[in-house]
Amino acid sequence: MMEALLSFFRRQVGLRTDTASTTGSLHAKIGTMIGKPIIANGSAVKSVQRGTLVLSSTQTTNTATISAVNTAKTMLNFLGASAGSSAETAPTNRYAQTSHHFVRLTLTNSTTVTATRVSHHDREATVSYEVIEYW
Amino acid sequence: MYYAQIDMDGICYAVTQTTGPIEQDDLIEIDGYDESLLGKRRAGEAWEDVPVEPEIPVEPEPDRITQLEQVVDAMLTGGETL
Repeated sequence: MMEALLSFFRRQVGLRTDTASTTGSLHAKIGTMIGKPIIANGSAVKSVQRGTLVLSSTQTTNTATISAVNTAKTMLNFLGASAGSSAETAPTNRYAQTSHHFVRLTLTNSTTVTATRVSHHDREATVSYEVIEYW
Repeated sequence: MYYAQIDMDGICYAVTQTTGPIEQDDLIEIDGYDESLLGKRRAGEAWEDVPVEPEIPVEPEPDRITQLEQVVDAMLTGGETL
């Protein structure tokens, strides 16, 4: 009886030399977990890339190239934008123009970040972003 | 790795910190995240400033009230300007 019980535990616990497996002994299953990138690298973050992109005074869209990421596991963060001031020209010249400041960012594909704005008003806009990819 | 990205005129419009090397004609490897390169032109192995054309100030046109006042003044003075 005792021998059967010990044998059962040995099979369940297994040996340190067991090959990693999701269906094997406890040692084998731990081996599988350790092999997961999140555990192996100590972080859920796979990579971080940062960039600054300029839309020229005649552009409403522009792109920057990044290292390839898995778009399904990647977030794109907008870190801010800056642009010079602009005003309506004659004959109205009453209002400040601001739409060239407002920029959107898109992770267009695995290697491209796109910045877009509605109008340029003959002013540059500089945009900063970061791309965070997870395992 | 850090790259400066240039347009067809060789002017830097983006700097990027990537996770690995990228082989692309418009990407130039640089030492760090140097935003001062934005707007500069690649000349051989160096970066040069691009002269900025001075902006010509546009003389603002007088608003509607001022225009009407000028018309009234002209009428009162018989066309003579004060």
